[in-house]
Amino acid sequence: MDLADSADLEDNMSTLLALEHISKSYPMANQDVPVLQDITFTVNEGEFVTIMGPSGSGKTTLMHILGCLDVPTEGHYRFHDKDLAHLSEMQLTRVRREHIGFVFQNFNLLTTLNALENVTLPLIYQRLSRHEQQRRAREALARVGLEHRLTYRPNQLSGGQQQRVAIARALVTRPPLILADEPTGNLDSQTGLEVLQLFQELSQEGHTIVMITHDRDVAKWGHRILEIKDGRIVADREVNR
Amino acid sequence: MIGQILRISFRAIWAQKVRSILTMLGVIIGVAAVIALVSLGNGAQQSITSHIQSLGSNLIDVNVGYNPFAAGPSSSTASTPATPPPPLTQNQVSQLGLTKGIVAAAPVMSGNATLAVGDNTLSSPLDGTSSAYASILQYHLAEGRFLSPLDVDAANPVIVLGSGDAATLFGSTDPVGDIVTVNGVPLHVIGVLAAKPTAAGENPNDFAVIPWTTYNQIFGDNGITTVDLSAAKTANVTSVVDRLDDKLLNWLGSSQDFTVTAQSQILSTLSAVNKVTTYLLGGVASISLIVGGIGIMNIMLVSVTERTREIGIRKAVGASTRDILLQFLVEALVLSGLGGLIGVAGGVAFSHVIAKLLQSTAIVSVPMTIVAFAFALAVGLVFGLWPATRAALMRPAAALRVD
Repeated sequence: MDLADSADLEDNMSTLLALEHISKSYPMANQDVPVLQDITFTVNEGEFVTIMGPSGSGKTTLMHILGCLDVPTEGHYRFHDKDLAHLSEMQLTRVRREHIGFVFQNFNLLTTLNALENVTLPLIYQRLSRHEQQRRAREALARVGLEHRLTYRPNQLSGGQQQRVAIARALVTRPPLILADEPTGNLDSQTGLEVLQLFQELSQEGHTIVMITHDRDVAKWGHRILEIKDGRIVADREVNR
Repeated sequence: MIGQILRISFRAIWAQKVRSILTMLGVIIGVAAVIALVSLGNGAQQSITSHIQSLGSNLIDVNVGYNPFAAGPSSSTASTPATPPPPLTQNQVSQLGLTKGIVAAAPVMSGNATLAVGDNTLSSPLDGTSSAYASILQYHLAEGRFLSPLDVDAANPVIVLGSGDAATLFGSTDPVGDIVTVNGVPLHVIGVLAAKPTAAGENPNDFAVIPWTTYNQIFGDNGITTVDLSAAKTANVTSVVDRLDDKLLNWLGSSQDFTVTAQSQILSTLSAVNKVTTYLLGGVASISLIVGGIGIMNIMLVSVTERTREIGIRKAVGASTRDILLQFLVEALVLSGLGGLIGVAGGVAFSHVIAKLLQSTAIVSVPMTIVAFAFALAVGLVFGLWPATRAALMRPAAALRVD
């Protein structure tokens, strides 16, 4: 997909997900501690959104809710016009399996598996054939430039390479949404830059990306920045380029 | 899918080799113990059975003598009777032989004698008996002939050697026609018995047989106190024993003055006792399998806690509750199954080693082995269920937060 197509896509943007008055609180010492309060925003298909906030602002909890790893206490979460807020664990699993790819700060690769096996993991749970698993995993690893590191274990790879394996794992199911939680947090600035460039390329290829960070310079890579503080959205603005 | 889960399980187990082996040890020892004990028990059972059958499973023994354990009214209040019961006459032996269901009867006098050929001497059990003895105790002849009724009537100086005694006294030369002295009395060797298999540590070949009349001449006449009889193959041994009991009670007047023992009854009693003992031991050993299962549960719980993050990652990339449950269950099953296989191999090897040391036999029962292995798998399943459920029910967000 070239740039003209992606611009074309932005013209008929359709809503991928919408959060409506989402709240989340955790019971702690007989008290409900609110972490997120009245969060409302939408993400369109093909958008690259960054959610920026200091640590403790609730941004990881927000990502868990966006990724169906957790459920909100209140509010509605529409994904492809389907309300996910009150789905069963089995239904949430299906959403994660089919629609969402995760990239974490500490890579979260399984240390006992090599790069190819790590990328294959989501496809195993999709019950794809062995042949299809191999083909797609190799393709995803080639996309992130690691086709020569297929049999390397995570401890044999550099931080940047590990994060690229993790990105390949997120891409391999061709999900409508890629969620990244501080993807550069554990990387030096040069490697971090390369990872951010990779995200930018993926965005230009049409992937919808929601990235969470505490770093304003990292946040600027998105098309749009949502600022979150003390569990509330305090700003929502387009990035001027 | 299952193939991939199995591969994942083997890898997880391989990643913790020492821990996995220690975990499996409980199951290994349990399965090996069950198999070894049951195999040795079966071996003992078979050697007892074959020993008794080699004596003749339709053998019935009549013994005249005080037997305080017999049921019925006591002939005297004292612990031993004032006068021992009279021995049986030759006529009474014939009458016992004519009992319905009995095909042969032979009086047996038993003792030890010194057998000598030249300088070669041997202390050996010696039986004085009649011509029916060989058929009752199922001895066949290797050389020569057995005692004839004429030998008994005439108290001929003849002797039939067991194969063990023949070998000790004569080596490989044929002893028939040679002379053996028994306590200094020279006797003609007229036959050698064919060897019977050794069983239960007893050798049925190290002995010799002479006519009972000759026995009385050498050792003095103490009367007939033991009669060996053989029941017809088709006879009901219990009712034959009852008929013999009736005759003896009639002659002797007290049921405490004689004993009638059927080998088949001993056989079935011994078999039953041995069976109970074997399964009791097997049952005790299977308790160690349950202990092994608890070991598996313990390690699986530790493993689930250690791998919380892995569970979170797997759930994030699309593993369902069932996928995770299956993964940890398969892991527990692989642990117990591998342990079971090693245990089977160990148990079979161990039972043969022990059997060799005890000069017994081990009979590995295939159904028992399958049961022990299946029990190991069941233990893995049961004790793996709780840890696997704990893993499966973890909330993904909470699992990912753990460092």
